[in-house]
Amino acid sequence: MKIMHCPLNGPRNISEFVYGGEVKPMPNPHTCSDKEWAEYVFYSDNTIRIITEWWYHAPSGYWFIAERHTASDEILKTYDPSERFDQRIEFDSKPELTQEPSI
Amino acid sequence: MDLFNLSAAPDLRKSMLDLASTKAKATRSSIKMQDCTVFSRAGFRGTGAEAFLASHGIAIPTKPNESLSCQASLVVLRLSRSEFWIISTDNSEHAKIEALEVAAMGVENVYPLYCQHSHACFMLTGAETENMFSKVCGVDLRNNVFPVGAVAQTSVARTGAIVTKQTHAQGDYFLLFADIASVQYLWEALTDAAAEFV
Repeated sequence: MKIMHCPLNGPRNISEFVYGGEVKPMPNPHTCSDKEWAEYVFYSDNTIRIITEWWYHAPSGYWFIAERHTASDEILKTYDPSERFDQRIEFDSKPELTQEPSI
Repeated sequence: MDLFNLSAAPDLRKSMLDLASTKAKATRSSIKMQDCTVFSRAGFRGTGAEAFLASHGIAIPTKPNESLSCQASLVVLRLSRSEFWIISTDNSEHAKIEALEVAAMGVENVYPLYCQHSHACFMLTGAETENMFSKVCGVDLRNNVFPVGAVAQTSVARTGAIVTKQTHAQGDYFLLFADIASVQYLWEALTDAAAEFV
């Protein structure tokens, strides 16, 4: 069984973890184009390199960040997301009002 | 609308666990399991949770993945930096748990958790319990590496579970929490695993 090191819970079987996608900067959902948003949500590079990814430890409901080599599948480093994100990201869901054309 | 109080009507809680089918096996084993699912518990999460609980006289474990016995039958689990569960192990502390939940309403950065209804709770006692866990859990729960006060959030019999070890007047015991939807399966799996330890 492959072992992954969870920053909160320590070494655990890989079967306890769920992959959560690559860590990448989020474009502003209000100003970016649909293509930019689709690329952010759906697309990922499939190149050989060290990749930074979200992983989830299911039994404890804990999200963290891991650095993994995409060819060897070796997990080089795992850490708490607070090392990268120091404030809560708020999503302003207020729809932007479009100006009614005046007759 | 007022928030619904999750601790309301404790006498109407009913465990869906069917104990009759495993009774013969369970009686033979030296490991005793008790279903504590309907016993009162409450969870709190958020950056204000630690200060809120401390202000209500609840002792707080210093690090994540630790637990402590706050009073004779009140166990506090710290599951992450900002997540806490408070469990009454013999259902005698309902009033205190309900009072905490009511007091938490509207407190900034303190969010109640639905752990009363989302999780089943078993209490396991017996000297062989740690050896039984070796059969169904990848984490070493033996006494030399998993002392009283330790918490493991891991997989037990392929079900996500929280396990902690605590002690009371009758000796050490394990508390196990797992998704309530898997309660019957897990009870039967653990009874089966415990059957060889007579």
